[in-house]
Amino acid sequence: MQILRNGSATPTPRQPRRTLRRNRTALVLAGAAVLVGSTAAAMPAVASAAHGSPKNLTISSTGLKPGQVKHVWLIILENKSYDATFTGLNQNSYLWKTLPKQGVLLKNYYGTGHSSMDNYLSMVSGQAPEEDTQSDCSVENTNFSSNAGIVTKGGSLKNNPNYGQAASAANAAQPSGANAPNGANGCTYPKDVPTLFNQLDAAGKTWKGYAQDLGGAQAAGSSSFQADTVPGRDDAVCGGPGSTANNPDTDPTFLSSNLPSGVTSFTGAQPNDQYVAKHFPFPWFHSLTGGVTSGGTTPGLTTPAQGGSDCDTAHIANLDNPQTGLFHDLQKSSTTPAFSWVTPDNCSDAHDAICKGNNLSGSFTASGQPIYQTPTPDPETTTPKNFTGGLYASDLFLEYYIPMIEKSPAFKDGGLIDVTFDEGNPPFTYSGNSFNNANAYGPTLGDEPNATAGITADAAGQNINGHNVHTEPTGPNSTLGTDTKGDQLYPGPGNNSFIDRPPVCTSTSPNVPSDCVPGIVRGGSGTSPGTRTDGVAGNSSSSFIEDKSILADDTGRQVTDTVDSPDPLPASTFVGAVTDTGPDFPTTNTGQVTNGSFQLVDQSGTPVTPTGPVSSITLSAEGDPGNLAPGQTADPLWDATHPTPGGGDTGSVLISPLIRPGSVSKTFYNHYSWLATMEDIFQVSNGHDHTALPAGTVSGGLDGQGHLGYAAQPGLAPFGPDVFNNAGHGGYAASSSHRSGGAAWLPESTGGGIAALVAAGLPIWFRRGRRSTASRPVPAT
Amino acid sequence: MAATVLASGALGVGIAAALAGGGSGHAASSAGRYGALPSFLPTPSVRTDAIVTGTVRHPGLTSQGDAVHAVLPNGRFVRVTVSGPETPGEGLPFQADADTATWTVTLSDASKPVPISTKAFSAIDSLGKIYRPQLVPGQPRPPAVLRPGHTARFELRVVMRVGEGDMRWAPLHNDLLATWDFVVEND
Repeated sequence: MQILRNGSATPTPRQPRRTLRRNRTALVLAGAAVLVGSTAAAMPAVASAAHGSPKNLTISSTGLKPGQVKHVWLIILENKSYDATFTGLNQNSYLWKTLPKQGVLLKNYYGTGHSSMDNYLSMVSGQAPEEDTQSDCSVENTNFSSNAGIVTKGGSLKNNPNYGQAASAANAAQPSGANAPNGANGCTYPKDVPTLFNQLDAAGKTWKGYAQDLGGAQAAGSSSFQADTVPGRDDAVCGGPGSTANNPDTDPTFLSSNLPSGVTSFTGAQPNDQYVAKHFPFPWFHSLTGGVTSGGTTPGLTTPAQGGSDCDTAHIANLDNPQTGLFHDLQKSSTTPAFSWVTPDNCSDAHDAICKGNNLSGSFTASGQPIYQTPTPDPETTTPKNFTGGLYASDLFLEYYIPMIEKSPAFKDGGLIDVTFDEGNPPFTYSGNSFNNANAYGPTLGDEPNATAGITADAAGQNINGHNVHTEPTGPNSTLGTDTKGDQLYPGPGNNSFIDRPPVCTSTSPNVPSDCVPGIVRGGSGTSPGTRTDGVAGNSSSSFIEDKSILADDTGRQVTDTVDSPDPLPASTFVGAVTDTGPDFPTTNTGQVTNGSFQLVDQSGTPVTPTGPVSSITLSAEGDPGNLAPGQTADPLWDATHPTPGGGDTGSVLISPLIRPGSVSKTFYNHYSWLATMEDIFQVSNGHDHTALPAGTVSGGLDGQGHLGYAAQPGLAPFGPDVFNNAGHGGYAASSSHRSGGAAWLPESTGGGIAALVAAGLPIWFRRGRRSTASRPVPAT
Repeated sequence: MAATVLASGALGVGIAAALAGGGSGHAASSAGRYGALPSFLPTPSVRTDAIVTGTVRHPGLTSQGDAVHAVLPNGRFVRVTVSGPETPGEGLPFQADADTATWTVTLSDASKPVPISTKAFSAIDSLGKIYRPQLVPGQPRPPAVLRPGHTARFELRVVMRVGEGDMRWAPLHNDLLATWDFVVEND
């Protein structure tokens, strides 16, 4: 944002400049001469293979033929930005060093909101965030919205951007008609909001949700699997929080009060159960769980392909259960679900820095090989070596389970592993690369915070009509309205998580004060600091003031001295460069350990030397940089106009015989793109359920092409040939003999499929020659 | 947890130590029943989770929980691991902007006597504010010198901003030898 001297704030384009990286493959374009590079591969859908399409047509714009991907495993981790995960901070990590060399690294994969839970629900339903799910359903699991609350006006997303979204019943009581606070909305979606899993049911595809620690952890040293070691914690239907009696219809679970015996937290891990329901999407949709009335239970929206119900043991399982868990199901392709959702527990997903329970560190041999116990792997039965969490723990999880999947027959025959994150925490320096600050021992000019960079952590990203954009629809609940001055009134999906917003005006008459916004919903934003008085030490021999309380973002605040006499500071004196020295260990229990200092400067930045001793200073209040009240100075994190529309860039890695090892895509994707990709891969529009819902149908979605919620955005690109970049010639052979030396390319294929593709006007890819990419390094940034 | 001095190898921390631990001893091959890794996957060219080396010229940079092989002057080296932070109050409806963060520091495998000082550790948050964590109350001070064959472990604590940060170890004046990236989580 550019701040103008006249006090107005003018947005400037923030879209980063990105260099298109051409894929070194030949591209044959039929029909319209549309240039498709590796980053421009996300095109609007050019064809659909729905409803009995010819064998060689690709599905939508994924570049895949129907049935090429037969099995998908989605492994979702927690709360890391792309910068923190994939740019070098984790020098040795399996996630950064090994997995991208096995597949494709999506450098611009975005979460759709803050905080966690709304991302999981957006992925499987296309529903946008609302405040209760943005707050991880931390109050009470009541019903959210209703079938009647699903927006039908307009009849399509083209006519109404909220079409098909469930609107909160609490919106009506809000002045804005949206943005009801946490606790007022509810958490479980109504029955007529379908999910990907309902679509798979209707399409005859099998699926399962695996959750580590679901029902509780296995005790170290135990020899037999126990299905429910912590009764009353994960026992609501589909892995919901609470007991079997709890349900959002008649007996809602309180998430942060009235906890039952043996349960210390529903939303955080506990030592004997690190599962958290907020990271498992299944229990939050009545379309899967069904409902409860005074007369009994009602079924979900669809019936699974193999019968039963969506929450039975054939669909919801503890990851390590010997009868229904992942390893059991991987034994044969026929026993492996078409789609597998894998939620690690709150330790193994990198959420907790220190794990409450087992982090699997005892489950590897001296040479680093995972220990797969006989007859069924159960790593929690080993005693952990430590309780370290974060990316250390997620590496252990991935090193244990990904080879297990890769060795399975289902993976070798059209398998696809997707390792992703829900949302991004901001990169450390807000500079675009956390590595930059590694060797700085104190704040430098390059480390100075600023609002625009801070907002990047709340960024959105997707590809619409072939263009990478930093916007996404917000839906009717967590909106992004502005007032007539362009000031943000509502936090939007990004929830103002990492910036300072103006305060709410306490008085607006006769005039609205310039430093506040009437009616603003501030979300997670911080508050601009007020005046502050520090005890300091300074004298006439130096322009530097020792101040143990000084902070990097105090730079620029005005400095006055109302204690010392005569006043040793000239008028218009400011905080210059801040440094910290020490450490200074206090001799009293009220002492401080930081021994900071700063340089006094004038308005032009020239050092100022006091005329006498300085023992106390008062720092000016910070405020709106464009509308500063007398005595205020600019808050470097303050921003009134830029939106916070998304969940930040997390990055994502996909591995498949249909993907070249070591490849990279820079196309913008997000959770809605992911949902559209899964719907296209499994051709859910071929399903049989076309019963009219308030908006769309289960099989047809909102657009008749099988896309739910915001996966049906007109022009939204699913993962394209930039991702499935080895699909054109059938992928790698299903050989199990491990070769050293890297990738083994299949011969170029120019078979009969090309004619059909040319006729359909679709892009076709083939390789010019034999080339190994196995040793190609993944770029560090 | 009290500060402790342990015999070397008694409690290895860091992933390499974890992997070297072996586990239950039955390195079972149940996964091998249905096959091996597919041929198209490249042979790993790097050993993941190897220990990073940190020197004054090239400080070790890694994520929390990983060990750093720190090289000091005069032929001294030591293995240092910082794990954490652990935070209280996780999952409450109201999440504060700051939280009490506690790290566990482990020093081991010293080649020669290496001085230990809690003053050498500092954390920095996403705004550039520097924190000086202190020994958790009730713990005995760690030994002033770590001798070969021993392990020292102690906990440091400070209240700091929620979000991403770095813990730095600068045992030689202000020269960094190692940095660990972490996230203060309280959701």
